[in-house]
Amino acid sequence: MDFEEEHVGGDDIEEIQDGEDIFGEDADISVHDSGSKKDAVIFLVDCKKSLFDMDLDGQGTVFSKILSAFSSFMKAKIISSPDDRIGMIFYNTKSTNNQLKFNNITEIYKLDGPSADIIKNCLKIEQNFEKDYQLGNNAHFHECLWLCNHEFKELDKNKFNMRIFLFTPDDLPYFKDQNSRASALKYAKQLKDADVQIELFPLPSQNEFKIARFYGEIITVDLDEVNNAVLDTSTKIMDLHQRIKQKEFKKRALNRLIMDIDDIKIGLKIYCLVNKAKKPYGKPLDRRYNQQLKKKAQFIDEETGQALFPQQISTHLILGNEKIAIPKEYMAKIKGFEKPGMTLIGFKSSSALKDYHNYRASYFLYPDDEHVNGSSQFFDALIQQMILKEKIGIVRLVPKQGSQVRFCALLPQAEQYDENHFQTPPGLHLIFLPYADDIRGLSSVKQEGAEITRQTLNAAKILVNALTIQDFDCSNFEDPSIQKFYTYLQGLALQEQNIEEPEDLLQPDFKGMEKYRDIVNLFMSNVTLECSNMASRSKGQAGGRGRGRGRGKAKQEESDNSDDCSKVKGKNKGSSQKQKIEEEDSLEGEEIYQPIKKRGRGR
Amino acid sequence: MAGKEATLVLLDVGSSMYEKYKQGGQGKEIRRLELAIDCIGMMIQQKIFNYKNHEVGLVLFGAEDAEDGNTFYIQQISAPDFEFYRNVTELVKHDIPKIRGGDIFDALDKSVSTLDDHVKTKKMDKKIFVLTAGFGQTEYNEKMIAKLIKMIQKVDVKINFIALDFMNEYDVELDDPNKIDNQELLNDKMLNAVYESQEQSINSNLIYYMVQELRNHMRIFPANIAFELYSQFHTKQMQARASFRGDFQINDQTYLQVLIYKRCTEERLPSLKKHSAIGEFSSETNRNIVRNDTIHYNPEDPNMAPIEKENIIKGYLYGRSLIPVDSIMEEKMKYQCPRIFQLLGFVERSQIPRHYFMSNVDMVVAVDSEQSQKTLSALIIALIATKKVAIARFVGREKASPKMVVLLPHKSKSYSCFWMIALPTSEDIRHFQFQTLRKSTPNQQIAVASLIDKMDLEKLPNQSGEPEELLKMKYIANPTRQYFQQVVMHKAITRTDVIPPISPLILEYLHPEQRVYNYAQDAIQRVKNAFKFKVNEIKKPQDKKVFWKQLFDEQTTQQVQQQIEEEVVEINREEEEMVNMFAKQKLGFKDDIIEEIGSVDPISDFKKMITEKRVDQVDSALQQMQKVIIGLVDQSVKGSFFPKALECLKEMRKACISEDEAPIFNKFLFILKDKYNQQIFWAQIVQQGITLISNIENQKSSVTADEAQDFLNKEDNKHQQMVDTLQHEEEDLLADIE
Repeated sequence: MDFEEEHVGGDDIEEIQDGEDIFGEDADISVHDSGSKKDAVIFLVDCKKSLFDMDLDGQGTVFSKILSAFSSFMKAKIISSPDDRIGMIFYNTKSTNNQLKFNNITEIYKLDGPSADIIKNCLKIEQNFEKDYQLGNNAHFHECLWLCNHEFKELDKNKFNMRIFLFTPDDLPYFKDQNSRASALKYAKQLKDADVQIELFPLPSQNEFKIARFYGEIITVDLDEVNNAVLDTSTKIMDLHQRIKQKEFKKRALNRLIMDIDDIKIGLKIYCLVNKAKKPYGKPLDRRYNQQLKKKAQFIDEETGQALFPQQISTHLILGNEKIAIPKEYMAKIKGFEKPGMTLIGFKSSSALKDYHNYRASYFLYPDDEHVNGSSQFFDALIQQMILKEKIGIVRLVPKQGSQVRFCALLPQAEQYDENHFQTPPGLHLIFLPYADDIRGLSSVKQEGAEITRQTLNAAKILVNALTIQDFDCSNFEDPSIQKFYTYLQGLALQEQNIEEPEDLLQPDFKGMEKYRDIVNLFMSNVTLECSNMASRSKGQAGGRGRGRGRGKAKQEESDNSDDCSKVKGKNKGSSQKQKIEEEDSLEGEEIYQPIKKRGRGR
Repeated sequence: MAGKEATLVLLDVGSSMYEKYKQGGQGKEIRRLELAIDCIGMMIQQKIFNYKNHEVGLVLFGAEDAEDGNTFYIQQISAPDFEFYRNVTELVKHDIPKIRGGDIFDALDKSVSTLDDHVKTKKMDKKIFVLTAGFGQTEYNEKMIAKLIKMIQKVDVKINFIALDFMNEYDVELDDPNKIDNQELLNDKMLNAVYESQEQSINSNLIYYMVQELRNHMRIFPANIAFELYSQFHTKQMQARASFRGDFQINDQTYLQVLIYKRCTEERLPSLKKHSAIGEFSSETNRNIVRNDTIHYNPEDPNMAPIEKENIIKGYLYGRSLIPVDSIMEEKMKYQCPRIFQLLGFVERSQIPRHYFMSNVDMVVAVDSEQSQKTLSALIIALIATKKVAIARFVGREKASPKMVVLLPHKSKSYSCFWMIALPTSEDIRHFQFQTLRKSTPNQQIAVASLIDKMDLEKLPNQSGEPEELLKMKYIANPTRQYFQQVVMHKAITRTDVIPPISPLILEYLHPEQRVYNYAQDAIQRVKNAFKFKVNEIKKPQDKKVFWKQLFDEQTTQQVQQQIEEEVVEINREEEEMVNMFAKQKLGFKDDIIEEIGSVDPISDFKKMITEKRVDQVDSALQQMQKVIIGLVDQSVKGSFFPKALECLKEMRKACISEDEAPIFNKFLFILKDKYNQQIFWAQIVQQGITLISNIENQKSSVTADEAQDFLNKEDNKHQQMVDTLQHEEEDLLADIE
């Protein structure tokens, strides 16, 4: 089955896929990321001198960080939601350039769809700043808000979520007099009434940033998101990049649902916190004219040669050499024996959920107090008690009409904040449980663990502790194949001649591991010693399998000073290096550990 | 050779089989033969749907019209089809014979040779199912049985003996030659079993004797639990095939050889194929065929003229522009990578949230080599002991996208392996902010606590009041798939357009909650009373924004609350406090400089002190931490604070490495050793592999890696025993009972 081909031009409604997967995506709770409202964001940057100082971490200026955050924000948008709008306005610049001709305000990018050009060029703004804009006199803050409001006015309020990302190191903007402060508040009120949200990103400065001094009166908070992080009154400046990353996706529920417990009804919303990003399917294009093509599937009766209408086509299953007619309507009935909804059946101890009970990504449940009052409090009590009693919930779930009934586990998660004040939200994770059909019996590949000595085990423990990655976070890794695809696509869009390969972050840090080589060798020599002891004791077996060699004291220069293998970033030249080592080994005439490649029978 | 199997089913058709099945329970009037045929039907159904390489034959015994007086071939061993199924279901309609049952052993004897003749040297698993109530007379004596046993072993055939109202006393749990007490108990039970007829008693003794001799070749399933009986045919066994065979690299020089198998993956329904509905429908597979002619055309061309394949390339959206990509470029855009499986590092288990498991589960085992098996085994046990997991890069085949996977150590009776599961990368993760939940009252907490206790699926009292586990997932087959098969079978047999209702058996196991709710009714009522649940009409979503400042304002807080809730119905005293939650709750974070490590959250205090940039507090933090650890250990009752103390010690070790204070830690470890040498706390330290910081980890240390290992090795016997006990406890915790 040609998978990719099938999805080409999937927007043509008249076609029916052959050999279609009847439990395909649409049977599931589908992820509507592009659904409902689009996003419109203006980056409003207060250009103060301090922005051009080095940031605390010494890796570039604050200004450059804002630009690179803007660039990755746009990059994410161009992939996930090309119809969103993004703009950028600088204020307190010497230059003046905007529709309303306000002084010292420069509109860098008018609110528009994300574009490859901007992604590429926005990073150059810093080096041209002196030339193009320069630091200038104070702009009137209310005029900044006015200008933003003006830009947003052109958009349909019902179609867009509108947000201003405000970057400033000062907790009080410049006001000529009380009047101008009042005007700022007036425009802030207008923005709020127009459903525009202001998100504040305080930047590092000499003085403590007190939100209460002014910005508390103009920035808005979504009541659905009120938590300690939002109400953060501390001076802590979060990592800019991460904070913007957090704001990248406007929070959106997949579905509203009722959970039944006998006749109790609990309102909840389902969210997707982890979703495998995939490369998009290409659309058919005529190479000669770069014209997008449409696809039309025609079905022809082989016996009569007649073209068939959809209603003249039925479906069947081949079993035991017979064709059994199973019309599509049957499938709806077969899957429809349970009504859509979620039913809490009971609780089990958390150890009942095994590591191998998994076949797909999870969802997240958060109470919907608006739908059922009391749900939020019920969740609060439920989460606390489940954690206290070390329990998981078991529910039966039919996400919507036409999807399969499934049993799922509910994992409680209490609200928490890390050192950077990032919230771990309160709620329940929904883990899909496999049926007996989904678990493969592996009785034929039984492997009872080999006996090992205490010494070997201790060496293994030391190895494990030494090669431990501190503060591991999945978000620090990127999917190299998706990164490459989009880097190339961007390069093609910008008609670049030489496209730079993106860095593959998902590589072992051989360099960082270098200093632990002796620990690895210590462990391996323990294993080898144990094997050779066994072999010498039981004659006859020795010649057979399980040969190994101790790597004893491989003399390696410890040139590397980085004491941290958390940055798993090594530039791998694995294969060539390996070859060299093999040669060395044979020269030494030692008993050689043969990498399986030589006798492997990989497919 | 993968998964081929030949099965011969021996069905007793003596008159005893036409009697009522006694263990059926109330309301289930069913004759033994019907039950047996249901089972066989299920099996054939499973084979038709799932196992293309399986062959099945059917032998009736106890049939009067048989030439040899006992056995009668109904179906030669072959791939089962619907005709076979139809014939089997017809069996019930036969005349009831005079003899009560067939000679089990004669039938077995003949079947084993038939099966052997059929399979010959082909690589097929051989199986025999016997279904009988045990009323048949037999000529077989012990000597002949012994001969039969030898033949069964030689031919290597597996026998599943399904006894209906017969041998109910047999208990497989007791049948264990290593536990003499149990075995004697079972012997007693079997000898003293009371039967309707003498034949049953003779057969029972002979069969019991056979099982004792044929432990690896014969199993008995008393049919008293119909479900177990059915499930015998339900579970689909797949021949395990390694999806990957290659090296697992620990570093650039060190490898071990592993095999990867699928463990858990969604088993989907088979796909439907299209056929033309204009002619007459034929069940032959080469009729009514539909050909798919797909064309691409220019939407501006009114004639919809097809465009030739060679002129069609792909275009990908970047922003709003469509970027043309030809096949050469397409290939270039693919990430090129060799097949590889590499360790990235080890990580605290708690740092991988369960909800980050993204995919199927695979099993990683070592190949059949001592070196690899010992290496893997040592890593697995070490990871379990240190409560860590491995993170790896995995590329299953050439040019596939690299995946970040977690390797979870697993050790049970039969497996020592890693479970391998894909983790998300930054592209996949969404950080949404959520509102803090409304605080529940103590009263509500108690109500929910009792709800959880009462709705315990692991020990819900059954009719006789004994605790029973409900919803054991490993016995629950996918109901949709079951129903799908039921419908397809019905359609295949009846060839009508009626969709049969779903089997009540399926519905029953799908709906265990009624029993739970009945038992937990008091607790449910209590929850209802404690919370003022009120279902509202869902209104159009509207943004609920307020100015930040308003959240701190008591008055607006109240308005806000009302806005969220519409109205609090009966405000009792507890809830009144709730309304002011925002105003009264301490908001935001305190970010004062911490100077002291408290006992509530010592690790977080310690971390803050170590990372504090404003003042150097490293020395003070390390000194205080030592006191906290010793305090925790000394205050422990039966080791109550040991886990906390260990976490503190690990955190301190981490800090001493990063802050170049290795000697402080090493000195402290010696102090602990002196102080607690003979105590369980020290055993826990060793068990978790917490040792001296070596000069490899931190240059300030004067300890070599070998010395660090020796530090763990050199312990006396008593101590080692303690460590071993701990280790086993850890492993048992992870092991699942299979």
